[in-house]
Amino acid sequence: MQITVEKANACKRVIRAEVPADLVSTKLAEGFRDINKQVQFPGFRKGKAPRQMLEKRFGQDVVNDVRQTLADDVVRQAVDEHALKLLGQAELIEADDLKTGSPAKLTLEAEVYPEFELPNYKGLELKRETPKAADHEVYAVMRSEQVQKGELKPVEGPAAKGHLLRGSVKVTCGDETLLAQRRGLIEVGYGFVAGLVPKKGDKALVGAKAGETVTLAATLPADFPREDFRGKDATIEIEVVDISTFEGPSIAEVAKQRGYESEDAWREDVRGKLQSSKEADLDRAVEEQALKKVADATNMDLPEKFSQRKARELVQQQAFRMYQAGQTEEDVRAFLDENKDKGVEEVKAMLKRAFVTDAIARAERLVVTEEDINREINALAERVQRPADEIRTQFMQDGTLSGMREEMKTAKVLKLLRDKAKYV
Amino acid sequence: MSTKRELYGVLKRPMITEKSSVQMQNGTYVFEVELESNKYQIAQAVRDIFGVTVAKVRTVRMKGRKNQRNRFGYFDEKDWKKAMVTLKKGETIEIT
Repeated sequence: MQITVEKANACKRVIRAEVPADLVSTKLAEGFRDINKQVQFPGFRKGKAPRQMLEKRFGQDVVNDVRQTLADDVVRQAVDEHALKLLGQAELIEADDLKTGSPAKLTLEAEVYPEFELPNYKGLELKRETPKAADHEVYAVMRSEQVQKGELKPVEGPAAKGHLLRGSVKVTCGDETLLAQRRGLIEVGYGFVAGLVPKKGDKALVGAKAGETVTLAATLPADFPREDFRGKDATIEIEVVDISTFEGPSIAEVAKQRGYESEDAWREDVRGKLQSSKEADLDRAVEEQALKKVADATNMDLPEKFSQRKARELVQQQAFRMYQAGQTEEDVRAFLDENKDKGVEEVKAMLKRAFVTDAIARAERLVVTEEDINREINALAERVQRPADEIRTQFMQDGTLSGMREEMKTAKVLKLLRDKAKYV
Repeated sequence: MSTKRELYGVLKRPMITEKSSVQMQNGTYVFEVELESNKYQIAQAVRDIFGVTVAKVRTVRMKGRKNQRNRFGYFDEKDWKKAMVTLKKGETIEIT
């Protein structure tokens, strides 16, 4: 088979093939022989029907099958000979009618990994704040542990200092909702509500009654996670459900129960854990920032059809989840109609990041070894209390292992970007 | 000259079976024919319908199976006639 590959654009190739007559004849004969084994005509034993009869009944089906088989062979040969890295399936766009004894021309279109040049990804200038576990956050963790060890007794009348309010909290800044209806316990007179300092300070919730909604004003702190809101005025709305008082062990006693020498020792341990969790969150944010910078600086043509297909798949997955969640068919249909052309840009951005990650991994020869996989599986097995072999077998069966490999490769690339960055 | 209706009254249907397919390769075609028709009428029908030269006609009276049973009761299958028509060498009929 003679194959030529033409470059239509950076991520599209046109594959043209000339299939010799004898190959067409052999494939057609094989196709009819296969179908003969499956069908039975009256008056004929199985597999003994004459070719003419088969051609009349199943001719077009067999020709279509053979055309697809030949197209697959062409793609396989093109991939081997021209080192194509395909994205999805190649599409047959033109084909001669297949006839025994005549050669056939096939034309296919395939989308491939785009060709692009990686920008400089070492020494990226990134912002990284120093995480700090605030006192009120440490106290919130300790207090919540303490509350679990004791009992909450309902209190009649307005809330006083030291009482606990059960309710839902909503934080807004202008039209933007920063925290939506989170239910929880708030300590009256502590001076912090939802991590913010109300302008009224420790008198903020004193006098609140069950069933009423209290509105408080606060200024968003300089280390607020969303930069564009820092220093702005926010509104905290608290719907008070009930008021109670805590009866139980003191924080120092809980610290002793938990095996710490003193309250301070427990406090330092909580602070350390919070600090490392914040560090990890910041690392993720920095990695996101780094990958976005590299992706934005990369020029590449993205595969149009592949992106559209992926976007459609994502919308369909979402529709399936809606079905599972018990939404009506009309709702799901309306959602599908509304979103059928959406999501392509998001998929393109996602693909761009994936291509960039892949290219960096290749450039830096970052590979995931069996040892890495084993380490990850062992850690997971320990967390979920199941044998590592069982998890490995399950992952191999459901295909999670290859996803895990990809995920680990991405993590290695992100770590490299983070390690090689300059922090300003 | 017989009318088409009379001709098709003689030839009922071609018989396409594994055996007849092999015979077709040798220029012999098998038909189910009217029970009362004779070799001359069969030859004439094949000649007039397919426009070919008939070299030989062999016929066989097939006995219908007796005492057959279906959900309505017992019945006898009717007898029928089979004709093997051999054409002049090199001539063919398109039957599929």
